Amino acid sequence: VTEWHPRSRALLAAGEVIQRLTNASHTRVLYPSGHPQRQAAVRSLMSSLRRLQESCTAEPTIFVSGESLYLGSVLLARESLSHYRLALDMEAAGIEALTFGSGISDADLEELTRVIAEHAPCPPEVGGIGVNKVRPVEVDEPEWQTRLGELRRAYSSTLDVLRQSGMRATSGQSLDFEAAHAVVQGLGDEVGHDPGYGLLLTAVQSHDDYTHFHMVNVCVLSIALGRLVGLDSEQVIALGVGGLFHDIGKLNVPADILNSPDRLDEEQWRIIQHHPVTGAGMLFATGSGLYHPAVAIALEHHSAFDRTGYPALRDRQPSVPARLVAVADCFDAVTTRRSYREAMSRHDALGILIAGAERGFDPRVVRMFTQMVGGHPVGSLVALDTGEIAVVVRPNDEDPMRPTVLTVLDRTGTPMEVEERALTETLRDGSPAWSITARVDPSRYDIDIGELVLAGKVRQASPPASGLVHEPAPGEIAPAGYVDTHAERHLHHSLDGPHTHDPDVSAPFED
Amino acid sequence: MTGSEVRRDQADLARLVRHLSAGLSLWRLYPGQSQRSDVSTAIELTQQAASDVLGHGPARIDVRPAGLFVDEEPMPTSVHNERLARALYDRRISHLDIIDHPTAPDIQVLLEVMTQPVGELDDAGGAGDVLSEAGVTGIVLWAGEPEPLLAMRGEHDELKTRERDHKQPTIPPVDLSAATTGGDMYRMLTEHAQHLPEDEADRAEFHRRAQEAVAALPLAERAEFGRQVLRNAVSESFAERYVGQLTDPRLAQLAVEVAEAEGSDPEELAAKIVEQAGRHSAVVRLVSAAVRRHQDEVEGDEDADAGGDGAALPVEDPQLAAATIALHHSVMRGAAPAVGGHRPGGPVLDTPIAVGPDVQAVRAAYPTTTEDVRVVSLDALRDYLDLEDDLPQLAAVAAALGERLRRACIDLQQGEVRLLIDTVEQVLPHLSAAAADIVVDSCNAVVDSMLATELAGSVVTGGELDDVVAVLRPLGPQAVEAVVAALADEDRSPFRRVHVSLLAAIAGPYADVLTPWLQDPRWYVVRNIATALGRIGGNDVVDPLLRLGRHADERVRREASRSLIAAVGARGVTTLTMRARHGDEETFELIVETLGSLPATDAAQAIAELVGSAPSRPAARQALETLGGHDSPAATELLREIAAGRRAAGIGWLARARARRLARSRGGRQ
Repeated sequence: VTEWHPRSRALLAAGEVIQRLTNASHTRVLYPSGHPQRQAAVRSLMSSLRRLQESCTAEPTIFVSGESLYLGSVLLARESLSHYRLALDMEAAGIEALTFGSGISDADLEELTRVIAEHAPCPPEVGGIGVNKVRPVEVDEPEWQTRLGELRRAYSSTLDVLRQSGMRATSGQSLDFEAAHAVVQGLGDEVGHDPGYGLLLTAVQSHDDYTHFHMVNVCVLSIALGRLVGLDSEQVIALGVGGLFHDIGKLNVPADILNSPDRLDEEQWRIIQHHPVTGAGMLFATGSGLYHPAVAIALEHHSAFDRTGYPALRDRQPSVPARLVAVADCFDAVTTRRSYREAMSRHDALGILIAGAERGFDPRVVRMFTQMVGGHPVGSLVALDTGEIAVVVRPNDEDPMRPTVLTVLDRTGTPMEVEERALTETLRDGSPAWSITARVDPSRYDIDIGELVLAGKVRQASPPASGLVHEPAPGEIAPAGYVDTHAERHLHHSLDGPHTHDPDVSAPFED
Repeated sequence: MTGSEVRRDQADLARLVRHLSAGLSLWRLYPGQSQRSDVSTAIELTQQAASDVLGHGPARIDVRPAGLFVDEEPMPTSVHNERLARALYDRRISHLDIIDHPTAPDIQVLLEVMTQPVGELDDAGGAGDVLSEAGVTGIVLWAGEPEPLLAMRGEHDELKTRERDHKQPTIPPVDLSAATTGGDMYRMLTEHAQHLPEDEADRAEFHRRAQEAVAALPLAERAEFGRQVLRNAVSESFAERYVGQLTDPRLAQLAVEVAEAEGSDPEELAAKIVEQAGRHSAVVRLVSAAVRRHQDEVEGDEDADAGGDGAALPVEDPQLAAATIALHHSVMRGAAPAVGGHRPGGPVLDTPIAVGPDVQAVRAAYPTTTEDVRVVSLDALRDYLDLEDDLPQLAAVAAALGERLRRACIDLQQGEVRLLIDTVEQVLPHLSAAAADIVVDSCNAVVDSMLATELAGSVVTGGELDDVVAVLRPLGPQAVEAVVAALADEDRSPFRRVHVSLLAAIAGPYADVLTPWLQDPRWYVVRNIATALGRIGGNDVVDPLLRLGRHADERVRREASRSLIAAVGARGVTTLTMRARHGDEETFELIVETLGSLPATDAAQAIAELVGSAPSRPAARQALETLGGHDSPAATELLREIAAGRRAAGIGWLARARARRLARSRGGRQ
């Protein structure tokens, strides 16, 4: 695993394990011992664990460090966002690493979920599960990585609150505006610290958990737009909360309709079209949302500037906050892959917005948004005239076509040491030092921009001198900062016979 | 060296095509502006790419219906190839040779030629000739079959002297003359367009004939045809191809013609076209650009022409991407006047994206004050209540709304109470009966005796009564009911006083809400209501108060009497007189007593009048006595007139004698 790693089978399996471990921990809290739901959750966890083990050539280790989850040295970025609370719970239970050996039983998993759910002191081993056999290395994070961590945490918390809000809403309880305000404020602070990076974070998208990620992304984009408009911090937060809750009504739409790859029938379409009304209802029902821009945003974000959208408003255009969020909503929606269509490039998404100006969107907002994300939108993958592939990380107000980029692949398509380049730089003769020659489809290089962003790779000026490491396989040079906490095991295994990989290691992954 | 022997690098050729295509887009946007950095960059890149190509020897690109080919191999499909192929093909170019290093001016001329209207090029002898006559020899455009690609410039010059005729397309004859109306023409062309021949030359020929046929239609029919094309284009590609082929750049003229035929305003019509054809973004772009161009022509503002022969497609090159954005931007600006937006002055393309004014405008329109946010929210609430068909959800919202109303009352937020009530009242007529009931019930439910007691408490502890009145008044009869209910159960006299005062202030229009409480078995409740009625005053309370004159409890009767006096005031004399004449003896006596307590002269006069219509002698006597004790100086003369028989003629002599005595006894009060 080098600078950047495409989603391998092992990483996907690890994501599934995290998801099911979360689920099993929740189920444990909800149901008594022996309850079929608990048993089913553990069985499900076991099966995904098997898949993880099958996709690794040695015993896989999942690390917890800095409230993030790792498989070996690879950050499970999206899972860290999605299952932030699990990471916190594991840390609270003193778990830094879980090594999944052979012979794990359902009882072992039951016990593990107990430890996590109750924050109980964790023994060194839970049956076949080794706890903290390999420990992550303590590192001093560089400033940018700390900032990244903060942003990621803010994003995670927002995702978390949104999910809880969704659960509350669907169970008939009131949405928690105060919690939403708190997390959006945190997110707003981080985005305010570095708007470019905040925008970059919206490249994080999830096909599986589309609605929640989408809502948080729209929240981030709305915050950035609000700052661009020059709103004060309270207004920005209110707009961000509106962005966060804009699709809350979709939580009541059946998943088979939302994800239907087929053409919707009239009734299904009616249900979809009702989600703004439902969302506004959920927000109004809180009482505290009555005088909050979020309700207007939820109700009006599809109503269209020229009033041709849905629902039809009585004798008026959508409110200005709703117009801002409508643009952010469209941009994020069309750049996400859905079951019924492929993701559009961020550049093409801008084209959609521009074409929709005066109709779906307020043209002033479209122009602002275009300016904000740049001619090559932040998060786009581009080819440079050097043949390298780079990610656009910062727009350039002066020349939208010459943003700041970070190189990620060299001209042979090999992951490279990232380097920040301002494309405004010129040579002595005044000619540009670098130029963008083409937009690049990330899928062509199997690049997940979101992963790159979350893993901090796009900001890395040089490889970390130390950091979270996996243990070296025999013959492999130990990474800087590596601490061998179980030399005896190495010795023991080496006496057993030749091993391609150390069984305690978060092994290289098989695809 | 023959064409097949020429080594060429596909990648270099692809780059050349890309840069040339990008250059074309920019040139369309900024014709002749070679000094612009983006244009000059595109030219430089094209020049460089051509030199790279020539590094492998002369090269030829074939233009075919399926796209661009090199050495019989199709070039990799891309939007650049398609665009360049289309541009070349429209100008009847079958091959493009690169035989020598082009200069920047050469590239400029090439771009100029490639952006010239086809008709003009034809008139000038074709694109190849125009290019050649402009002195460009490094790049050659061929129409029809070219000579083999032999060598560099010298040999080519010789070849170039052999001019080729354009290929003559051959397509089956299509009798478009059968279409005499715009609608027929549209249907016919649409049908044919679905089954056009493969050969691009034939297709182009078909469209040329179609244009001629359309042009031959009468104005009104041509207008109808234009409408059909713009409104019924069956697909994006159809719209782009057909609108582009047939009406652009004459689209604006078409809009004007349609407007003339319809007798409508051209700008309004353009707006309609944009709106109705809006589902096809290409049509929008074309119409917008054309309308703006037309307006520019009308205004003589040549500088503002953003050009654009439409067909702005997603692109990859930065220059082309910039051009696309600029084009979109200009189209947005261009569309603005057509759809009622603003039209900024000056050349819009100098600053590709002008953000400053937009930010200011959005900020100015953004709801930043509490009041602004309220307006936005209540607009949303109105629409929400109107739109929601999920009654349980509506009930939850209505409950929250009610709670908010309650909170606003307790916090004495008069404005908010008014706003909430106004919102509900505005939306109620639009709701179904069930939904309206839910909303009304939810609002009513929170205005109860507890709320009234809480509000009264605020006054008792030093608050202003007027503040409470201001929040209760918009709540109408529900507030009256709440206060009276609180009053009925209140055992603290300071609170009761406040309740009565509140009723006096808010219950005027809703006296009917109070009157049922006069049947309450608790005498003190009835007495308090009577007090309130008296302070409310007005004719409506007279009857209830008069009826209280028969209440079993004397304390109530006394209060009713006082309240009646308070209620009618000086202006109620006539009313009371009327009621006394038509009422029973008790009512008569009560009214006489009431009038006796009024110092005004008209009250004395009323008593004098009533003496004659008293229901009994005792009643008449009571009236005379009351008049004798009246404070008005006029009472003495009135008594004298009664004594003299000039008033109350029907009374007996004993009564007149009593009047005389009473007058004499008032002697000093005249």
